[in-house]
Amino acid sequence: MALLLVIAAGVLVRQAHFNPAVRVFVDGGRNEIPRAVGDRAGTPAADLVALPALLRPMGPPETFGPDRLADKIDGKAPLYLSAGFRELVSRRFALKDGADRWFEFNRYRMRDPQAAFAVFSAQRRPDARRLAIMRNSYATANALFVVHGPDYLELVGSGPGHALQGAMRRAAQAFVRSHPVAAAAREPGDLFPDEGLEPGSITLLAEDAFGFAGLDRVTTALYRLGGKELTAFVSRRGSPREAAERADAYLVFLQRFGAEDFSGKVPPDLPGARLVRVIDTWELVFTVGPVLAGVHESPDAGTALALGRRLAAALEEKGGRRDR
Amino acid sequence: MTADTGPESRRQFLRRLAASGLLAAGVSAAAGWFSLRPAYVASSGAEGVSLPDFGMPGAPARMSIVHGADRRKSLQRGLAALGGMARFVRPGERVLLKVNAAFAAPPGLGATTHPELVAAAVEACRRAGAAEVTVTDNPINDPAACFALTGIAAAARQAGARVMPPRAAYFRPLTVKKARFIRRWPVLYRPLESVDRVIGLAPVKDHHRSGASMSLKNWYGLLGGRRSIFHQDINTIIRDLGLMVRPTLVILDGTVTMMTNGPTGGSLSDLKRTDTLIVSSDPVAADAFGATLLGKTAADLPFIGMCRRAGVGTDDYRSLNPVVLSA
Repeated sequence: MALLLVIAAGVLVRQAHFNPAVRVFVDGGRNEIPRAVGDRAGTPAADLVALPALLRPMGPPETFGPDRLADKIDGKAPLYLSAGFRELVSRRFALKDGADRWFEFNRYRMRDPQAAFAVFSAQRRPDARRLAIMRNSYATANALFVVHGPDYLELVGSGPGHALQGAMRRAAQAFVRSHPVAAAAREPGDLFPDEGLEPGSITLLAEDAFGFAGLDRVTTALYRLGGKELTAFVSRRGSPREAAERADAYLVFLQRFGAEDFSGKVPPDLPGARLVRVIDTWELVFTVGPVLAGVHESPDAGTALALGRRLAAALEEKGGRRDR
Repeated sequence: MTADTGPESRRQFLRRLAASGLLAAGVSAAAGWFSLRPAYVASSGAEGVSLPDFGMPGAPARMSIVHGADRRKSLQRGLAALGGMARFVRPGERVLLKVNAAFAAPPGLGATTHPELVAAAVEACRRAGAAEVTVTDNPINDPAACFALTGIAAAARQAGARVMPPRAAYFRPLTVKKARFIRRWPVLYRPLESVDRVIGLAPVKDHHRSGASMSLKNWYGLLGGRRSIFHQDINTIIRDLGLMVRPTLVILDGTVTMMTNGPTGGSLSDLKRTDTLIVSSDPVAADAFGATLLGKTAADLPFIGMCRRAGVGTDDYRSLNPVVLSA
């Protein structure tokens, strides 16, 4: 009997460690796909783009569910699957006056707007030029990237050029107009204080935040304070208790890597916060109600505490009662 | 009666105990086997086909590193430094060029083998006297679109090669000795079965799962079936691929390197001009150097060390005394 129990435990352990790609492989991608407001059920998304007159489709749209996403984007599929991927609709369009100038319109339908933002922010390009299409959108020399509700749109051109950029922008605008979504109640970066925040640096880590498997759905923001670079982070959990438990687990994780406790240096205006040094960087961790927050990889304790104070104040103001 | 019942019951009890023990052992063995084996391995049957060693017998591994922006010139100089393509391809031989045509992307995005390099490699093989040069890959996306939009098909044909996109009939189950995953796995075998030499042509790219996609990962394009499942253990499958294909030569193109958002990229800003081309008969050494173009070391990419330990090649590319020159 004991032997059978050991076997059962072993099987359960292995089942619990499936990677997302395997899960969808096994599930056969039977996930439900939430439809955006205004979607016509059963119609391929790219067909809904009212094409500017200068474009012609190069072929029919292709659709990829979770089980086939890797057939389109190969090794990048796990990034989307772990964030909450539902469906990809992809179609190529060429400029009517030049077959060698074309772009691919990829509509990634994600679980929710946060999931769409997670894949958007994880791939943000450093030379990004912000667009007016949506709050979270940018252009590079040959491509546009847009978050629209639960959709992450990639429009990838065959090369640079004004005509192609213009056509992609019009196609993206047409899509946004024809797929209205409810305005987001709260953007992922709304909880961060403004001073010192690097524009375009807000990133949503869907899983394994800072290398810790127990920390998911963490929003980070890069700050430059007094010439020093450091990261602030927030993660809204289900309850103050869960936030506190995640904070404890993260500190245990850091201690495994030799973190030294300097919580005695934390001033009274950050009660309950814990400060540790990991090799030559500093981490500050605290909770405000159901929000786990902190500072990651600060070059010194003083800067970590300064940013921590501002972050805590912003959370008190925007995020609710401080949990002590 | 009563006196006999006791010993018989004890015997029956012992028999039942032994049977239960055997049953439990059988169940645990079966559970262990089902749990630990890869789910996609065929349960029975022959081992399938295998591949010969396409390397030059008895020849020591060699490598050249050429700095320059012109792929054609870089390849010419890189080959010349190793004694020319004639050192690797003999007159009358049939050569297979395994390109990376994984995505239906334009050549400028660096996600696939650049058509200029394909053309230059075909021409070099033809000049060396190759009877036939074939270009193949089993792309991730639709093969026709991939070969067309990458510019590979046109470049290969214009240079005198035959393009061989995959068809279902071209795949055969193949088993690689010492491999963990490639056991009776469908492999794009038809293009390989009648050639004398195999040359890999791969770009240097970032890769979300493995950290890099270079010469060794390029052989992934020979796999068929539901190969995406291998992403769960990408380093082991790359080691298996290194064991599967012993090439004549690899040409690793770091003229432009995809530094971020690989393997698909999508933005020109994912690319960096690194102006380097590597020609090597040792794919592990080529990838070890290629890692530096990505700002990494061989130690940062676990599959390189795994390939070295499996005997695929050396991760100490300096030990090959590579010829370093400018195009």
